[in-house]
Amino acid sequence: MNVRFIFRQKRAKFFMVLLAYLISFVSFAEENNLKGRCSQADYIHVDCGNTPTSTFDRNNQLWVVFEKNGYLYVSASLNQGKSFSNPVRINATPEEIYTNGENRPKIAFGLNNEMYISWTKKTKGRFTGDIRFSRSLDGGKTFAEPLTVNDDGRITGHRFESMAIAKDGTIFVAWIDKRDNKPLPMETKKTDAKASTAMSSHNKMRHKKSGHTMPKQNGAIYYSYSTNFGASFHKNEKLAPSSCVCCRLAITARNDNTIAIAWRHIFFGSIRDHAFAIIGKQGVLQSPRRVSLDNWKIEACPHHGPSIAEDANQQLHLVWFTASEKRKGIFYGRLNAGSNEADNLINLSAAPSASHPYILSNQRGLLVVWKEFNGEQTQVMMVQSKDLGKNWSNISVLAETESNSDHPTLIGKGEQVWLSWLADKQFLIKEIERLNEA
Amino acid sequence: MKHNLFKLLGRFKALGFYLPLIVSVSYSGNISAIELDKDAPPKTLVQTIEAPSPSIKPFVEDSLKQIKQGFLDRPFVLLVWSIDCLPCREEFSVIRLVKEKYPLLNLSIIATESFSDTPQLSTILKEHQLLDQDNWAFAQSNSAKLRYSLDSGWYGELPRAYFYDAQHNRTGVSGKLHASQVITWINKVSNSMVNSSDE
Repeated sequence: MNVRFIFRQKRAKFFMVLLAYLISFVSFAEENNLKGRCSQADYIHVDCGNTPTSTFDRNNQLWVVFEKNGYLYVSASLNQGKSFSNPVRINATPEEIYTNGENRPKIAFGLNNEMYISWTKKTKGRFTGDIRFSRSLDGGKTFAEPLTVNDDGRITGHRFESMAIAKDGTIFVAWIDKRDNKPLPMETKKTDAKASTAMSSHNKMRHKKSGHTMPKQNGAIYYSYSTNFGASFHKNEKLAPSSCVCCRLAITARNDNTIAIAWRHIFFGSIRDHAFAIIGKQGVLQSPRRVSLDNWKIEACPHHGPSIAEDANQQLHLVWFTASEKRKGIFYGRLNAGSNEADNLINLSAAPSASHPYILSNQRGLLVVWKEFNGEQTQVMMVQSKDLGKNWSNISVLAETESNSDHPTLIGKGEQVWLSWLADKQFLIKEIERLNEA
Repeated sequence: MKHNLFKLLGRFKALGFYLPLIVSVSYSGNISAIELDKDAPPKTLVQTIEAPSPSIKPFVEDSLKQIKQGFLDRPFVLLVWSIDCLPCREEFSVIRLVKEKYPLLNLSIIATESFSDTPQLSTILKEHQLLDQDNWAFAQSNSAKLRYSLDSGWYGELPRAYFYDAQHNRTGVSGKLHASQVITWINKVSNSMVNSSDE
């Protein structure tokens, strides 16, 4: 009896080891298989795409937009990212599409679950682009011919677009625009003599003073909106001059049907601190204000845009990166209507590698994620606040990789929050456990 | 069949990756003698590698050591840039002007772009007449690791420059360099070399 029992135990152990071996072999083979398949040009999958960007639709279904070989695709998941539907192509004609952490395609949904996609198309010349938009009114089965949102007809910098859907369904798109600059020597331009002389006197003066061989190439913040479900867009409007040219814009729809935008501005003396403004269909509702007095004086590309979110009390919450003498690292600040500088300023991380923070607000509080590199691994760090940013939890590690990775973002579904992150050529969708409610 | 073809292509790609490294390692340029002449203009005090190979080398984790080795006992300026960085191009224009005035200024230039972007990098460097310098491009899948190997305290903003003195003590500067900054540094390292030779 005992011998048989021992034998059974040994046999069970043997099968368990065998099973573990088989599982690890299958997952290893699957991983290698995926990497092999990704190298094939005709294999289209979210794991093999560039800068996958996700959101939940109005029915709480997960959607991801990604780029491969000049085409944008969308894919849906009914099982929270475990598997994805066959990708559907958005643009029928291939385009050179910007796909980096700061400048990536966006996906959003209208009130009746219309799917809206925006992206930046690379155009001829350097640092140039057009803001592109397409929609699907049949649940992602087919897409409309893409349209160009910028209306100046120039081949110049229209890049780093951001999109938000207002409470009433109006689609807002904002971007960094260089139409007001004198063209660079290498910049290709259409026959638009007026535009080529449209460099502002402010910029001319600064250029002359600095004696540089290239004209100053600050950006400006422009925006447009669509009230017909993306069939067309209104005339472009200028929100602010003199923005940094290589940092993503932060945009969020507010409960009062307005839109809040934050960006890295260039203040006098090459100070690259943040500004924010409120816009709506009526125009600019709150002119640009300085968010932070970090005083980061630098003539450089930080490639580090902010992130913004609004809570139920209509307070805005901003996270950003700075490296001034005074402040270094990832910062959080609360923006109140009427105030100039953000209050309740908190340094969430001063680690030299802390980068690309992203904030999400929902009924249960605020969540911020960012990336840090510890010498071996890139980690996604997270903090939470249950009292609208007054107090924050300890930092916890959400995910990590030893390979290259994209910027982390957060997406919400009711009270649930999910991390969306591409690391080691694998798209990760991970539900975030919240702090125990006290 | 198709799979095997990709594998084969992958091997050739790997060869393409290492070939420039092999070529650059096997290259041995003549290093000019140090001339410390008090009356001479500062430009003669900064030495250079003669006729460096006009290629871009793959920057991997221990490449900084290799760069420093290449400028042993000599001061140099290390520039870090990327294709999508406009101030980097403006800095290149400045550096080119300084280089015209001080042709013996030692430069090492690292692009944070992938090594596979070499054709585009070469075009830009050539436009700014900097392709014949000691050029490198990130060549490892984990760019965070390479940035860390370059400077663990750097936040990643570009352009980034490091002024190395003859002992290879360095000062990091973020943002576009101005000609006056570089010339001040040239004068400083030249004077310090003169003074140390006097002792």
